[in-house]
Amino acid sequence: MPEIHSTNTLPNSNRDVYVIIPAYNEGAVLGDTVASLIPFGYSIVVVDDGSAVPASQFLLGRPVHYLRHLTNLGQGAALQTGTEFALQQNAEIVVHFDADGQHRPELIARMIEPIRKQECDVTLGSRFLDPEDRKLVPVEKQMVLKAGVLVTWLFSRVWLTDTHNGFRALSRKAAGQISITENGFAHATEILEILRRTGLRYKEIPTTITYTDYSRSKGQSVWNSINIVFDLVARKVMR
Amino acid sequence: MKSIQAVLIALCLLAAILGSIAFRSKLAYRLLAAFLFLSASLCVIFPGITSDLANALGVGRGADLLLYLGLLAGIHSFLLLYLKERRLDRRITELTRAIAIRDARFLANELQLSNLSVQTTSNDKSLALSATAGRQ
Repeated sequence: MPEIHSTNTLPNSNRDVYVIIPAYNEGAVLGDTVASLIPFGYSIVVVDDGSAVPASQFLLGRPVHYLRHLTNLGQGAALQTGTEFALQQNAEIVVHFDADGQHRPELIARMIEPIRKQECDVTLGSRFLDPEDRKLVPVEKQMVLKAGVLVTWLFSRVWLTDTHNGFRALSRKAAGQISITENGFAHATEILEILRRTGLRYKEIPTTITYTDYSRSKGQSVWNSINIVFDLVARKVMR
Repeated sequence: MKSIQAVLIALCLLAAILGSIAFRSKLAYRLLAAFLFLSASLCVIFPGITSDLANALGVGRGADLLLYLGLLAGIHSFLLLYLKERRLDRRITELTRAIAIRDARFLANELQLSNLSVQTTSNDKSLALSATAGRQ
């Protein structure tokens, strides 16, 4: 297993960056995603959200922290579990990263740079800042995402170019303040709500999303976005 | 007293007892259950009361008034159950999270099962070979 040796020789400067990967029934793609991250020397935390087949079997021998939910709770819950674990391990920066290979590992450096420089506490990936990135997003997906921007504004009063991107980086301070209680996909809006309430500084960073057939099949459908709206309404009403 | 009245009062009593059990720790709800039982019994014994009350409130019949009140009670209990479910959900989340963090593993030192089984089978084979060699 060459990966193990290569991480041992890498500088430790990235060790305090914890990349959290929530995984639910991802299969072998998870192994690929993790393998692509290893050369960068970040600390990797995979949170298996109660997959039918434990995701550990795709990761044995790799330098990753593996946490498993005994029952499926949802992506938001998995991110929160990983974040709490990372803070216990004295993480300085926490990165939220998708398991399905649609985020690019080399862009993590771009996400954490403003936080290292203390320009802001949170960075959020956006597919719509760079026209080149935008071209890669399928048209029907663009429409759903733009509706998401509007809904997000309605609920959190934060206007972003892209929401539900899933690629974000948090400083230690921000990660400690942002406690996700929305177990499902509504956590993306919840995080923004907390950003506004706490006054944490945030910044959008242009990121490229790689759409593969696999990520498309796993991605959120139009129907699911309607689901998210219901979650958000329930959240407002049922405090 | 008509026999239906006895049956209805028995049902009201049962509902009140069940309600008191369900809200064991909440005195307010137990008092409410007792109050509902008493007023329901009164309505059963003197059926005219509901109609008078309904007319006073501008509702046509006593049975309609009961229907509306029942609907309100239904919505109320649905909301209570929903909130209870959310609390339960949160507790399960906390429990699951605590276990996941407690049992965190670092996988670098864990061998791949497939490699392991290949090794053991090859060991078995060499053992078997040496055994047969020894016999020869």
